Amino acid sequence: MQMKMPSIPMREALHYMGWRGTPVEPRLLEQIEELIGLAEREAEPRTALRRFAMDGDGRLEGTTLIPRGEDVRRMLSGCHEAVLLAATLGAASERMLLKAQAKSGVQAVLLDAVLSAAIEAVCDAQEAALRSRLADEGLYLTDRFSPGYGDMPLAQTREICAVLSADKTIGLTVSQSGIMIPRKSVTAIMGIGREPVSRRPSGCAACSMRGRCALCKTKR
Amino acid sequence: MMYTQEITLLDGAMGTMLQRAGLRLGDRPETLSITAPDVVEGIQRQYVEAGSQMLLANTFCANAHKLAGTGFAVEDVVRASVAVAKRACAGTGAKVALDVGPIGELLEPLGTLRFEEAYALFAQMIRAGVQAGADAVFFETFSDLNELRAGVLAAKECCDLPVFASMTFEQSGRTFLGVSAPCAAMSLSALGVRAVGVNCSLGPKEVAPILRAMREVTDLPLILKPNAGLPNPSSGAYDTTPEEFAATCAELTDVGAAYIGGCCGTSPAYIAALRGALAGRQAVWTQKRVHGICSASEVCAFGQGVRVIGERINPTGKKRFQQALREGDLSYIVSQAIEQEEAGAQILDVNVGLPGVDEPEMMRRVVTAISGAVSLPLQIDSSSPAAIEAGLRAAPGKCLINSVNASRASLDSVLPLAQKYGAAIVALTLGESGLPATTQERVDFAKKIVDEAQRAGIPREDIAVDCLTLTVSAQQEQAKRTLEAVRIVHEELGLETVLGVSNISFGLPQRQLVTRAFLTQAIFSGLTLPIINPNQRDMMDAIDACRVLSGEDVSCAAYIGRHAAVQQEKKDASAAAPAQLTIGEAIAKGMQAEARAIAAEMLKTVAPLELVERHLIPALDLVGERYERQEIFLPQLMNAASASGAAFEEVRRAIDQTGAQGEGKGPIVLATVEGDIHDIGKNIVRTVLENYGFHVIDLGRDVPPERVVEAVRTHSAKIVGLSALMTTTVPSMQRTIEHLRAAGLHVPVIVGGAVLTPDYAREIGADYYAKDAKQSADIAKAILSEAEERL
Repeated sequence: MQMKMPSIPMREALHYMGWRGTPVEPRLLEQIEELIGLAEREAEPRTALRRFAMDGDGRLEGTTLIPRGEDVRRMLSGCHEAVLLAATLGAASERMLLKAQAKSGVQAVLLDAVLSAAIEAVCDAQEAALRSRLADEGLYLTDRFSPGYGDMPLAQTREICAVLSADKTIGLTVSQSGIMIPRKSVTAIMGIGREPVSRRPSGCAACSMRGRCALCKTKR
Repeated sequence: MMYTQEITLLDGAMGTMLQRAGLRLGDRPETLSITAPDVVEGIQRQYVEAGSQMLLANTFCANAHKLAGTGFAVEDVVRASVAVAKRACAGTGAKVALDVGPIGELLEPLGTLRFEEAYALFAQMIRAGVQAGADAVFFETFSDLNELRAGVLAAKECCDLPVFASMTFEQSGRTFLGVSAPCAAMSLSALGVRAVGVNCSLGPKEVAPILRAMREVTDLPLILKPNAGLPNPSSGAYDTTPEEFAATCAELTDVGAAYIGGCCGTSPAYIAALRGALAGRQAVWTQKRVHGICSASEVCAFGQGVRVIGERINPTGKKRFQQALREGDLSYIVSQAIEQEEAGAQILDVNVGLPGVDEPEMMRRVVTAISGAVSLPLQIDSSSPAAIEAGLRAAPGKCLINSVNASRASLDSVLPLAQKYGAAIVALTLGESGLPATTQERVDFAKKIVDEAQRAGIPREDIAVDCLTLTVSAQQEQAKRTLEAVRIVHEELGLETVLGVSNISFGLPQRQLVTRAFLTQAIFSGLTLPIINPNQRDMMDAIDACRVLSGEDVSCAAYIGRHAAVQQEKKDASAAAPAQLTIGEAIAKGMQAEARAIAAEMLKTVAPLELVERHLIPALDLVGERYERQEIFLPQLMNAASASGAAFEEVRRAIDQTGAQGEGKGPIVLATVEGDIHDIGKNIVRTVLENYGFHVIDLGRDVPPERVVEAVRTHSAKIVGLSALMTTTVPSMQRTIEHLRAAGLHVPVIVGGAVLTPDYAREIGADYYAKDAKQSADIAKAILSEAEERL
């Protein structure tokens, strides 16, 4: 499904550039603002979201998918349903990156970070909307958990995409070497419970790159 | 002219029906032809009973990549699926088409799948389909025009069956990849398919305008295979009843919908309703109104005024461009394409012929890279038929070939290519006897080429004639003859005309004055496709003015839009005051223009090397230290590096003037390894290294090990830098190092990337691990100075 691009927070874009709170000259900020404007105009966010009941083995009913890894299983324990999410900024985002790269290295670095912030904003918006719909039904939602977080194998990206037919429904493909293309894409799983569920921190605390990643927030 | 055709009723959804029968999401429905053939046959029999005259076999994703891991071979699935469909229509006269869907991976340049790999995957399916006795090949649900082109070419080269080609669009009228409906129809018609059209996407109401847009540019019958309306976001159910569906589809027979069926959400009930609604109807349509060439996203229509062809993708007389070709620096070439598009070019000429460069392979790579970043149609410019073919294969869309002349050799080698790929041609008016001397000779050559081209199956509207610009300072009388020939070819033969305009002024002072005068006279005479440098503002201005005078620019709107603001800009530009800065400050603040200006000023009194050693390097070192202390962050480091790079360019210019060796240190070969397209880290390293004065040969991303080996050999590289972002692509990094070592190349290898660690780097055989771009530069400096000491 096509959706409107939510606004991209400058702070998040700066974070993806490795910013740690030091002064930034106005000229650079203007440059980033311009790219945020470009991304908000030209990126084509599309998302696929689907709800499944879970059976006793942890399989999403009617699918081939069983989420693997201790971390995601722990998150889903106490949940009777799961939601699969796939989101992408579309081929337009890849073209923007190719173009920026041919123009200048700095431009490409800035745009790459802006688009990273953008796809997160898209996922956050989807998650928030879902959370409030579920609250109306008296249900609770965990955080989102992606293949590659903790011990959930990266290879499950392909399985999630297959279940959602993400190539056909939103134009998100997985290459032979397991890379999502367009690059600015996310796949994730969330659990739904009848009782409040532990919202298990997503992001840095659950990440297998914790402590090694230049962007790691847990170091701050 | 009017066309009519009997309607062929296709079938409805297969996936929807299989899911109702219990198929799990994530399973490959095609394997059911082997594991549960009765279920598949039952569904297809219902379609035949409902009236389907052509069934699509259950082979949509039966390609080797999608079947990987299922334990089934392509040939087995295709054979079983075609057999099931044949059983379902036994005794009815209905036909069976091999159904071919997308591979599910993106092709280059956005993805990593090579065009020829996609071709091979399709060819395997098609050969199996032919063996199994399929009556046609039906491509559907594509969103990438080039992937579909690979399939159509495979079908045309592997069999004689009729080929159908259908794409999937969003309500915007474009596919996920930005392909427009007219571009799809124009390109696929050019390749010689039986019919083009739309499937899936949307309901019939929403598909109608997309089909009408296709009608404008093709004379072929159209395919119409929409969904059962739009899905309800919460329930997933489709909103159109069989009767509504059939009624809307029936109306579209008037725009030439001749192959009609249903996609997602449709069932035998929809096909039965279609049979009722289509009874007694024929598909009827009129001739196309628009002709021309196209990319995947833009049509460039001929016969509607002046269309500018940009000439800058060409190594002739351009040192920097030649270097880019020799080093395979595609990003420089792409930047030239972007610059011309932004300057207003409407077609890009692509010429990569240079001694020592594998022209067909370079043409393929350049055309592919350009098509990722610009949306203009291309003119493939080469004297080598192999290079022309490589360009035509790689280019998404319908191209112009530059050129074919009236000599036997040229006609025999180029016209078949134009026919096969459906390309338009530039007919260059010279022949065996050489250059034409008179107006009449030019016209005669043009007529000869047009005759031969039409006989080879190339439509007249796809021919543009180049009446040949000769240099006025050498052959003064020829300028008038060229113009006269342009007039005759345009007015009397009714053809498009091309001229390489700037040739006219070669050897004269103030060339642009003569070139511009010639351009305006030529446009007045009937020139429609001038080949110029669109970056020269006054040439584009002259074209803007000509469009006003010819009436092409209705109400002068474009002219006013572009030129009303110019006066103001000029005033603003003159107001900029030079800042009082040292070169170190300019670099620290990342001020490129200032750093360049200050360096140029200093070079009047300071020796080039002294400027580098005493000013630029210390300034960069300071910036590097601040980056390590986290006082500045990455964009600031890169801006500083770019500013020093601008100053370095001034230094290089000064050194060139003194005639001394101006080569940077190195060279260093950089690559993002095969299978990985995350090149941002590698690009950062490139920027930083270059601006420390290293000569970098950047091989790009998704680079096979063989190319790294070849580049190290060819350029005697001193260092190799490899980058990979993903755990899944680090093995490819290891393979690259192994290839280098196996080739006897013991060049130091630096590796970097998010998931690497120093230990991991050692494990895969790298010599150095660099955690970031700054450290790469430090390591490179250390390696090269150690090497110098050893000397």
